[in-house]
Amino acid sequence: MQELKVLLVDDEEEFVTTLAERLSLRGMVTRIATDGEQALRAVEADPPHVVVLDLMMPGIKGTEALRRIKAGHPTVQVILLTGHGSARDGIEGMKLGAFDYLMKPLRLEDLLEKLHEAGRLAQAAQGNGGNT
Amino acid sequence: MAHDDTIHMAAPAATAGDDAAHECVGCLAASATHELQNALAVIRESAGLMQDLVSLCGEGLPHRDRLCTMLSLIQEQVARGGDLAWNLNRLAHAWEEDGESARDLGAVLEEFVALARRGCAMRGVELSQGNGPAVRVSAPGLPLRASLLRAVRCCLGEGLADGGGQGSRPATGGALVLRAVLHQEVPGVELDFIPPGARADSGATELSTTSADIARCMQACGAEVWQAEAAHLRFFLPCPNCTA
Repeated sequence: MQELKVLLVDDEEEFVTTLAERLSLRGMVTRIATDGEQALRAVEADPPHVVVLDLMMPGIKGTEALRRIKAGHPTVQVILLTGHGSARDGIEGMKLGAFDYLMKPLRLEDLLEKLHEAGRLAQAAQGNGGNT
Repeated sequence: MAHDDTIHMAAPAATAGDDAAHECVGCLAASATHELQNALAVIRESAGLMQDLVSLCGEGLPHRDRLCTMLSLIQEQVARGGDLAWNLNRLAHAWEEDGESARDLGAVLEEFVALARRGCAMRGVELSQGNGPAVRVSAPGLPLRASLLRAVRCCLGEGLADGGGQGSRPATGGALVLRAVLHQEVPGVELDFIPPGARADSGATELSTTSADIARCMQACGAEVWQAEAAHLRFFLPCPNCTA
Protein backbone atom coordinates (compact mmCIF):
# COMPACT_ATOMS: atom_id res chain seq x y z
CA MET A 1 0.00 0.00 0.00
CA GLN A 2 1.39 3.42 -0.90
CA GLU A 3 2.15 6.15 1.61
CA LEU A 4 -0.82 7.94 3.07
CA LYS A 5 -1.21 11.49 1.70
CA VAL A 6 -2.67 13.86 4.28
CA LEU A 7 -3.67 17.51 4.00
CA LEU A 8 -3.84 19.32 7.38
CA VAL A 9 -6.00 22.44 7.51
CA ASP A 10 -5.95 24.75 10.54
CA ASP A 11 -5.43 28.49 10.96
CA GLU A 12 -2.97 27.88 13.84
CA GLU A 13 0.14 27.64 11.68
CA GLU A 14 2.55 26.54 14.45
CA PHE A 15 0.15 23.79 15.49
CA VAL A 16 -0.45 22.44 12.00
CA THR A 17 3.23 22.67 10.98
CA THR A 18 4.37 20.72 14.02
CA LEU A 19 1.60 18.16 13.64
CA ALA A 20 2.58 17.68 9.98
CA GLU A 21 6.16 16.99 10.99
CA ARG A 22 5.04 14.40 13.57
CA LEU A 23 2.93 12.63 10.96
CA SER A 24 5.82 12.72 8.47
CA LEU A 25 8.03 10.98 11.03
CA ARG A 26 5.39 8.25 11.01
CA GLY A 27 5.63 7.72 7.27
CA MET A 28 2.86 9.95 5.95
CA VAL A 29 3.19 12.46 3.13
CA THR A 30 1.85 15.72 4.54
CA ARG A 31 0.90 19.19 3.31
CA ILE A 32 -0.65 22.04 5.22
CA ALA A 33 -3.16 24.82 4.56
CA THR A 34 -4.13 27.62 6.92
CA ASP A 35 -7.56 28.50 5.55
CA GLY A 36 -10.42 26.96 3.60
CA GLU A 37 -9.60 28.55 0.23
CA GLN A 38 -5.99 27.40 0.44
CA ALA A 39 -7.22 23.91 1.32
CA LEU A 40 -9.52 23.77 -1.71
CA ARG A 41 -6.66 24.83 -4.02
CA ALA A 42 -4.42 22.16 -2.48
CA VAL A 43 -7.03 19.45 -2.98
CA GLU A 44 -7.54 20.48 -6.63
CA ALA A 45 -3.80 20.55 -7.33
CA ASP A 46 -3.07 17.12 -5.80
CA PRO A 47 -5.92 15.28 -4.12
CA PRO A 48 -4.85 13.70 -0.82
CA HIS A 49 -6.25 10.53 0.67
CA VAL A 50 -7.38 12.31 3.83
CA VAL A 51 -8.02 15.93 4.79
CA VAL A 52 -7.93 16.89 8.48
CA LEU A 53 -10.07 20.02 8.59
CA ASP A 54 -10.55 22.46 11.46
CA LEU A 55 -14.13 23.73 11.49
CA MET A 56 -13.44 27.09 13.14
CA MET A 57 -11.29 29.17 10.79
CA PRO A 58 -11.45 32.66 9.34
CA GLY A 59 -12.76 32.92 5.79
CA ILE A 60 -15.07 30.26 4.37
CA LYS A 61 -16.71 28.03 6.97
CA GLY A 62 -15.26 24.58 7.56
CA THR A 63 -18.58 22.98 6.68
CA GLU A 64 -18.59 24.85 3.32
CA ALA A 65 -15.03 23.69 2.60
CA LEU A 66 -16.12 20.13 3.45
CA ARG A 67 -19.10 20.35 1.14
CA ARG A 68 -16.96 21.58 -1.75
CA ILE A 69 -14.24 18.98 -1.17
CA LYS A 70 -16.76 16.12 -1.18
CA ALA A 71 -18.56 17.55 -4.23
CA GLY A 72 -15.36 17.67 -6.29
CA HIS A 73 -13.54 14.68 -4.84
CA PRO A 74 -15.96 12.22 -3.24
CA THR A 75 -13.27 9.60 -2.52
CA VAL A 76 -11.20 12.01 -0.40
CA GLN A 77 -11.97 11.32 3.24
CA VAL A 78 -12.34 14.26 5.63
CA ILE A 79 -11.77 14.18 9.37
CA LEU A 80 -13.17 17.25 11.14
CA LEU A 81 -11.60 18.96 14.16
CA THR A 82 -14.05 20.69 16.47
CA GLY A 83 -13.93 22.59 19.72
CA HIS A 84 -16.59 22.50 22.48
CA GLY A 85 -18.76 25.18 20.97
CA SER A 86 -18.88 23.48 17.59
CA ALA A 87 -19.50 19.86 18.52
CA ARG A 88 -22.87 20.14 16.84
CA ASP A 89 -21.05 21.19 13.65
CA GLY A 90 -19.06 17.98 13.87
CA ILE A 91 -22.25 15.95 13.83
CA GLU A 92 -23.63 18.09 11.01
CA GLY A 93 -20.40 17.51 9.13
CA MET A 94 -20.90 13.76 9.31
CA LYS A 95 -24.23 14.25 7.54
CA LEU A 96 -22.37 16.21 4.84
CA GLY A 97 -20.06 13.27 4.24
CA ALA A 98 -17.21 13.70 6.72
CA PHE A 99 -15.56 10.41 7.72
CA ASP A 100 -15.54 11.33 11.39
CA TYR A 101 -14.78 14.17 13.78
CA LEU A 102 -12.42 14.65 16.70
CA MET A 103 -12.81 17.09 19.55
CA LYS A 104 -10.00 19.44 20.40
CA PRO A 105 -7.70 19.17 22.27
CA LEU A 106 -6.43 16.46 20.00
CA ARG A 107 -4.65 13.28 21.09
CA LEU A 108 -2.18 12.11 18.48
CA GLU A 109 -3.08 8.47 19.11
CA ASP A 110 -6.74 9.16 18.33
CA LEU A 111 -5.84 11.07 15.15
CA LEU A 112 -3.52 8.30 13.95
CA GLU A 113 -6.25 5.71 14.43
CA LYS A 114 -8.75 7.78 12.42
CA LEU A 115 -6.17 8.56 9.72
CA HIS A 116 -5.40 4.90 9.17
CA GLU A 117 -9.10 3.99 9.02
CA ALA A 118 -9.95 6.86 6.67
CA GLY A 119 -6.83 6.24 4.61
CA ARG A 120 -7.69 2.60 4.00
CA LEU A 121 -11.11 3.64 2.72
CA ALA A 122 -9.71 6.38 0.48
CA GLN A 123 -6.96 4.24 -0.97
CA ALA A 124 -9.39 1.43 -1.72
CA ALA A 125 -11.77 3.85 -3.46
CA GLN A 126 -9.01 5.66 -5.34
CA GLY A 127 -7.09 2.56 -6.29
CA ASN A 128 -3.43 2.11 -5.46
CA GLY A 129 -2.64 4.81 -8.00
CA GLY A 130 -3.99 7.33 -5.51
CA ASN A 131 -5.95 9.43 -8.05
CA THR A 132 -9.57 10.57 -7.46
CA MET B 1 -41.98 17.85 37.19
CA ALA B 2 -41.12 21.50 37.79
CA HIS B 3 -39.64 22.34 41.16
CA ASP B 4 -41.21 25.01 43.36
CA ASP B 5 -39.22 28.21 42.86
CA THR B 6 -40.27 29.71 46.19
CA ILE B 7 -37.76 27.61 48.10
CA HIS B 8 -34.88 29.43 46.45
CA MET B 9 -35.18 32.77 48.15
CA ALA B 10 -31.50 33.72 48.06
CA ALA B 11 -31.22 34.48 44.35
CA PRO B 12 -32.71 37.80 43.16
CA ALA B 13 -34.81 37.87 40.01
CA ALA B 14 -32.74 38.22 36.83
CA THR B 15 -33.00 41.47 34.86
CA ALA B 16 -32.36 42.31 31.22
CA GLY B 17 -29.18 44.02 32.35
CA ASP B 18 -28.05 40.82 34.08
CA ASP B 19 -28.68 38.86 30.87
CA ALA B 20 -26.53 41.25 28.85
CA ALA B 21 -23.76 41.09 31.44
CA HIS B 22 -23.88 37.28 31.49
CA GLU B 23 -23.75 37.18 27.69
CA CYS B 24 -20.76 39.55 27.70
CA VAL B 25 -18.78 37.49 30.18
CA GLY B 26 -19.79 34.25 28.50
CA CYS B 27 -18.85 35.34 24.97
CA LEU B 28 -15.51 36.80 25.98
CA ALA B 29 -14.62 33.83 28.17
CA ALA B 30 -15.59 31.36 25.43
CA SER B 31 -13.44 33.17 22.90
CA ALA B 32 -10.47 33.46 25.24
CA THR B 33 -10.61 29.82 26.38
CA HIS B 34 -10.77 28.72 22.75
CA GLU B 35 -7.57 30.69 22.16
CA LEU B 36 -6.03 29.21 25.28
CA GLN B 37 -6.79 25.71 24.00
CA ASN B 38 -5.09 26.61 20.71
CA ALA B 39 -1.98 27.77 22.56
CA LEU B 40 -1.92 24.58 24.64
CA ALA B 41 -2.29 22.52 21.45
CA VAL B 42 0.83 24.17 20.00
CA ILE B 43 2.78 23.44 23.21
CA ARG B 44 1.57 19.85 23.29
CA GLU B 45 2.48 19.12 19.67
CA SER B 46 5.85 20.85 20.03
CA ALA B 47 6.66 18.80 23.12
CA GLY B 48 5.39 15.71 21.32
CA LEU B 49 7.70 16.39 18.37
CA MET B 50 10.61 16.79 20.77
CA GLN B 51 9.70 13.43 22.32
CA ASP B 52 9.63 11.88 18.83
CA LEU B 53 13.07 13.33 18.02
CA VAL B 54 14.56 12.21 21.34
CA SER B 55 13.23 8.75 20.65
CA LEU B 56 14.90 8.74 17.23
CA CYS B 57 18.25 9.80 18.70
CA GLY B 58 18.52 6.59 20.64
CA GLU B 59 20.25 5.88 23.94
CA GLY B 60 23.41 7.86 23.09
CA LEU B 61 21.72 11.27 23.41
CA PRO B 62 23.26 13.26 26.32
CA HIS B 63 20.84 13.92 29.22
CA ARG B 64 18.29 11.69 27.49
CA ASP B 65 16.56 10.59 30.70
CA ARG B 66 16.32 14.16 31.97
CA LEU B 67 14.92 15.36 28.63
CA CYS B 68 12.32 12.58 28.63
CA THR B 69 11.31 13.43 32.21
CA MET B 70 10.91 17.13 31.49
CA LEU B 71 8.99 16.54 28.27
CA SER B 72 6.62 14.21 30.11
CA LEU B 73 6.15 16.90 32.76
CA ILE B 74 5.29 19.42 30.04
CA GLN B 75 2.70 17.03 28.60
CA GLU B 76 1.17 16.45 32.04
CA GLN B 77 0.86 20.17 32.73
CA VAL B 78 -0.54 20.79 29.26
CA ALA B 79 -3.16 18.14 29.97
CA ARG B 80 -3.89 19.82 33.30
CA GLY B 81 -4.26 23.22 31.66
CA GLY B 82 -6.25 21.77 28.80
CA ASP B 83 -8.71 20.16 31.21
CA LEU B 84 -9.24 23.48 33.00
CA ALA B 85 -9.60 25.38 29.71
CA TRP B 86 -12.08 22.80 28.43
CA ASN B 87 -14.27 23.10 31.54
CA LEU B 88 -13.95 26.88 31.65
CA ASN B 89 -15.08 26.94 28.04
CA ARG B 90 -18.11 24.86 29.01
CA LEU B 91 -18.87 27.31 31.84
CA ALA B 92 -18.52 30.20 29.41
CA HIS B 93 -21.35 28.70 27.35
CA ALA B 94 -23.61 28.24 30.40
CA TRP B 95 -25.45 31.52 29.80
CA GLU B 96 -26.78 30.01 26.56
CA GLU B 97 -28.51 27.17 28.46
CA ASP B 98 -32.00 28.61 28.57
CA GLY B 99 -33.65 25.56 30.12
CA GLU B 100 -35.43 24.53 26.92
CA SER B 101 -33.26 21.55 26.08
CA ALA B 102 -32.27 18.77 28.46
CA ARG B 103 -28.68 18.14 29.41
CA ASP B 104 -26.80 15.69 31.54
CA LEU B 105 -26.60 16.91 35.15
CA GLY B 106 -23.53 14.72 35.65
CA ALA B 107 -21.69 16.65 32.94
CA VAL B 108 -22.52 19.93 34.69
CA LEU B 109 -21.16 18.49 37.96
CA GLU B 110 -18.01 17.30 36.18
CA GLU B 111 -17.40 20.83 34.93
CA PHE B 112 -18.21 22.39 38.32
CA VAL B 113 -15.91 20.02 40.23
CA ALA B 114 -13.00 20.70 37.85
CA LEU B 115 -13.34 24.44 38.32
CA ALA B 116 -14.13 24.54 42.06
CA ARG B 117 -11.63 21.92 43.16
CA ARG B 118 -8.81 24.30 43.94
CA GLY B 119 -10.97 26.66 45.97
CA CYS B 120 -12.14 23.77 48.09
CA ALA B 121 -8.61 22.44 48.51
CA MET B 122 -7.53 25.82 49.85
CA ARG B 123 -10.14 25.26 52.59
CA GLY B 124 -8.96 21.75 53.37
CA VAL B 125 -11.76 20.00 51.50
CA GLU B 126 -11.20 17.53 48.68
CA LEU B 127 -13.98 18.03 46.13
CA SER B 128 -14.94 15.16 43.84
CA GLN B 129 -17.81 13.76 41.83
CA GLY B 130 -19.46 10.51 42.83
CA ASN B 131 -21.08 7.91 40.61
CA GLY B 132 -24.81 8.20 40.18
CA PRO B 133 -27.64 7.52 37.78
CA ALA B 134 -27.91 9.42 34.52
CA VAL B 135 -30.06 12.46 35.30
CA ARG B 136 -31.08 14.79 32.50
CA VAL B 137 -32.44 18.20 33.41
CA SER B 138 -33.86 21.17 31.60
CA ALA B 139 -32.62 24.12 33.61
CA PRO B 140 -31.16 27.58 32.98
CA GLY B 141 -27.41 27.15 33.15
CA LEU B 142 -26.22 30.03 35.33
CA PRO B 143 -28.78 29.71 38.19
CA LEU B 144 -27.98 26.00 38.39
CA ARG B 145 -24.28 26.61 38.84
CA ALA B 146 -24.87 29.53 41.20
CA SER B 147 -27.03 27.29 43.37
CA LEU B 148 -24.27 24.69 43.49
CA LEU B 149 -21.67 27.30 44.41
CA ARG B 150 -23.80 28.68 47.24
CA ALA B 151 -24.19 25.18 48.67
CA VAL B 152 -20.49 24.37 48.40
CA ARG B 153 -19.57 27.66 50.05
CA CYS B 154 -21.88 26.73 52.94
CA CYS B 155 -19.93 23.51 53.43
CA LEU B 156 -16.68 25.47 53.33
CA GLY B 157 -18.02 27.71 56.07
CA GLU B 158 -18.06 30.81 53.87
CA GLY B 159 -21.78 31.33 54.43
CA LEU B 160 -21.43 31.43 58.22
CA ALA B 161 -21.28 34.57 60.33
CA ASP B 162 -17.92 33.66 61.82
CA GLY B 163 -16.57 32.18 58.60
CA GLY B 164 -16.96 28.72 60.08
CA GLY B 165 -14.41 29.38 62.78
CA GLN B 166 -11.65 29.33 60.22
CA GLY B 167 -9.06 30.30 62.71
CA SER B 168 -9.54 27.10 64.68
CA ARG B 169 -10.48 24.67 61.87
CA PRO B 170 -7.92 22.10 60.78
CA ALA B 171 -6.54 22.82 57.31
CA THR B 172 -6.98 19.36 55.82
CA GLY B 173 -8.95 16.15 55.84
CA GLY B 174 -12.33 17.30 54.59
CA ALA B 175 -14.15 15.70 51.68
CA LEU B 176 -17.16 16.77 49.64
CA VAL B 177 -18.65 14.45 47.03
CA LEU B 178 -21.27 15.70 44.58
CA ARG B 179 -23.59 13.23 42.92
CA ALA B 180 -26.47 13.73 40.47
CA VAL B 181 -29.62 12.09 41.84
CA LEU B 182 -33.35 11.87 41.26
CA HIS B 183 -35.20 12.15 44.59
CA GLN B 184 -38.94 11.49 44.44
CA GLU B 185 -38.78 12.46 40.76
CA VAL B 186 -37.06 15.76 41.58
CA PRO B 187 -33.61 16.13 39.96
CA GLY B 188 -30.88 17.47 42.14
CA VAL B 189 -27.47 17.01 43.68
CA GLU B 190 -26.53 14.96 46.71
CA LEU B 191 -23.75 16.56 48.73
CA ASP B 192 -21.87 14.10 50.91
CA PHE B 193 -19.68 16.12 53.31
CA ILE B 194 -17.02 15.22 55.84
CA PRO B 195 -15.81 18.45 57.50
CA PRO B 196 -12.05 19.05 57.82
CA GLY B 197 -10.75 17.56 61.02
CA ALA B 198 -13.80 15.32 61.53
CA ARG B 199 -13.02 11.71 62.31
CA ALA B 200 -15.41 9.39 60.50
CA ASP B 201 -14.45 6.54 62.86
CA SER B 202 -15.15 8.53 66.01
CA GLY B 203 -18.74 7.31 66.10
CA ALA B 204 -19.80 10.74 67.30
CA THR B 205 -23.40 11.47 66.32
CA GLU B 206 -23.97 14.72 68.16
CA LEU B 207 -23.81 17.63 65.78
CA SER B 208 -20.97 20.03 66.44
CA THR B 209 -21.69 23.78 66.49
CA THR B 210 -20.02 24.23 63.12
CA SER B 211 -21.83 21.32 61.53
CA ALA B 212 -25.14 22.63 62.87
CA ASP B 213 -24.38 26.03 61.37
CA ILE B 214 -23.52 24.42 58.06
CA ALA B 215 -26.79 22.48 58.07
CA ARG B 216 -28.77 25.67 58.74
CA CYS B 217 -26.87 27.48 55.98
CA MET B 218 -27.63 24.67 53.54
CA GLN B 219 -31.31 24.77 54.45
CA ALA B 220 -31.34 28.50 53.72
CA CYS B 221 -29.96 27.65 50.29
CA GLY B 222 -32.89 25.32 49.67
CA ALA B 223 -31.24 22.03 50.52
CA GLU B 224 -32.81 19.19 52.48
CA VAL B 225 -30.75 17.70 55.30
CA TRP B 226 -30.57 13.94 54.88
CA GLN B 227 -27.97 13.17 57.50
CA ALA B 228 -26.47 15.34 60.21
CA GLU B 229 -23.77 13.85 62.39
CA ALA B 230 -20.65 15.55 63.72
CA ALA B 231 -18.37 13.81 61.23
CA HIS B 232 -20.74 13.30 58.32
CA LEU B 233 -23.38 15.45 56.69
CA ARG B 234 -25.54 14.67 53.66
CA PHE B 235 -27.76 17.08 51.83
CA PHE B 236 -30.05 17.06 48.82
CA LEU B 237 -30.01 20.23 46.75
CA PRO B 238 -32.88 20.33 44.24
CA CYS B 239 -31.99 21.91 40.89
CA PRO B 240 -33.51 25.39 40.62
CA ASN B 241 -36.14 25.84 37.91
CA CYS B 242 -35.56 22.27 36.76
CA THR B 243 -37.61 19.72 34.96
CA ALA B 244 -36.38 16.13 34.68
